[in-house]
Amino acid sequence: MVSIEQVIAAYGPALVRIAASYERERALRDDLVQEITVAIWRALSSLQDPAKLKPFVFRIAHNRAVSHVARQAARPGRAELSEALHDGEADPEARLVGKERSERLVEAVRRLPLAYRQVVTLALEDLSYDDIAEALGLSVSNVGVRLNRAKAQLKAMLDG
Amino acid sequence: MADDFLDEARRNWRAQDAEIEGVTARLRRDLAFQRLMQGGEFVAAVIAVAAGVGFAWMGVVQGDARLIVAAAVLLVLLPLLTWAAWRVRRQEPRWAEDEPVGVVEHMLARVEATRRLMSLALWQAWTLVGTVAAMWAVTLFGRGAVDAGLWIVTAALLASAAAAAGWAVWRERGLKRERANCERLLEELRRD
Repeated sequence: MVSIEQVIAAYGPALVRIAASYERERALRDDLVQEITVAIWRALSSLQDPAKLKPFVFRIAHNRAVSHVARQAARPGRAELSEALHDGEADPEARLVGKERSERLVEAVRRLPLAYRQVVTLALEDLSYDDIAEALGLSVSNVGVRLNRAKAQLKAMLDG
Repeated sequence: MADDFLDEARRNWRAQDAEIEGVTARLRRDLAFQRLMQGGEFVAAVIAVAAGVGFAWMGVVQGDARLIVAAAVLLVLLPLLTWAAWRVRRQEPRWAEDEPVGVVEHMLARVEATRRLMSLALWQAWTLVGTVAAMWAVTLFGRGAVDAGLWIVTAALLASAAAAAGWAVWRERGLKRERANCERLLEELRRD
């Protein structure tokens, strides 16, 4: 039986990143992460196969995040990107460049249509095509198509 | 097959990590609180049932109707409210089983159900206004006096009607936005 502490230890940072792709405002993002964690905690007893934990966790994360966005009156993106991103690099200039790249990517991901955003965030979290398909209820070939289109749109936004 | 774009994107994606430490620490605290709340709910339910049984016994022994009423509230109404809360929780999307499209469709259905309930709030406001009109009609046709009591009841009912109508209109606007938002999300999710 997998415990919620194990889930947080293994996927906590990934859950925060997923939430950040839906919610720009930091306080709301943290609330969303909490909602996701509670939903996972309540659903954990229904997990049949511990080997499927990763798609199970990300499916709940995306479903909870989608409902969060549905409840918002406006599109996500009311406030500026989180104020305090630190990547731990000693060189302030390198840190600034890293921070800027990270912010641009997250912002570009947020601007993707939801169908592409979900696939690309899971790919960025290193999920296989099979796991992405299972998490989102898609066919593997559909995952490939969406990921290619998402990458093309991301490239255009980041280069533009 | 190597994918340079995705590899670099992954590195930049994970550069958010350090900030995340604080959030995951908060998560552990939140979870402990959730567990405490769940334990608290259980303890409160046990105490309520025990108190209900105690009140019922004392009410029968002492022949005190007030204790019997208190026991009935604790033993009948409380389980009913708990059952209603359980039903509401069951109506939440099944986060682990549904697909994103199913979640949004569920949200859309919930919005529609709430909009129907909101129309009842408007009817409630009109009923209050109608009650005031009827009271004044009866009074003006000589069936009562225009006294302070009538003015107080009129003010109270009209204030309640205005509050109910205002709340219903405000909520209806929010639900319209939520509905539009759900429809936009469905469109985005169904895109191939």
